[in-house]
Amino acid sequence: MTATQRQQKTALATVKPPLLKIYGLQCIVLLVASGFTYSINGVVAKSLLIGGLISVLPNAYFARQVFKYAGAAYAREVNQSFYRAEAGKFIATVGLFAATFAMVRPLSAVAVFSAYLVGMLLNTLLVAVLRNPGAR
Amino acid sequence: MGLALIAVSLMIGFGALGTAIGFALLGGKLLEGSARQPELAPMLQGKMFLIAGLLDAVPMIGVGIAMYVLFVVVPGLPA
Repeated sequence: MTATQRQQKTALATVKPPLLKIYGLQCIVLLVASGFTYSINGVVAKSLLIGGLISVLPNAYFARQVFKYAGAAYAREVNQSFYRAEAGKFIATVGLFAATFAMVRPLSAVAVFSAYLVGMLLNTLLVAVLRNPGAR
Repeated sequence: MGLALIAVSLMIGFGALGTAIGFALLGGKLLEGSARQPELAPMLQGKMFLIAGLLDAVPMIGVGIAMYVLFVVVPGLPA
């Protein structure tokens, strides 16, 4: 391993938040909310699950792309990976919303958007709370 | 039908434009900050990741509403 690679690995360890923990927790919250709602209304439970997944999957892709590089020596690569990740996230979100509304019937749109919104807020909250102390 | 398609185009287009401007500013500041103080680059990347999540939340909801209008409110697009 070269000195640059070692430096890169150290920088990544300093900055990278626990992504598996963040997205795993989101999935658990989603499954619990959906399971709890299933006993009341199956359509709403399905819509909550779909809305949450539309939030979690593109965000997970975004996080995976963003933390491929770290450190000042790789500032250009970090920036490029941010742009690539954002474009991918945007396309994935559009595709998932389109597929959901085109193919899933019956569906509660309010539940889909509520779950999506809560997923986005939960993502920001978990990233803020669980991020690496070195990145603060 | 035509107006609905224009509305959907505007929602997706302006959503993408807003996100693009936001990310361009964020990316520029990241490069600037990394060049000025290289030792702070990892911290800046972590903060950028946090802000990026907030930045595209609202445009993404707009995109979702656009898809709802396209596929639920105005279904049956002409082939």
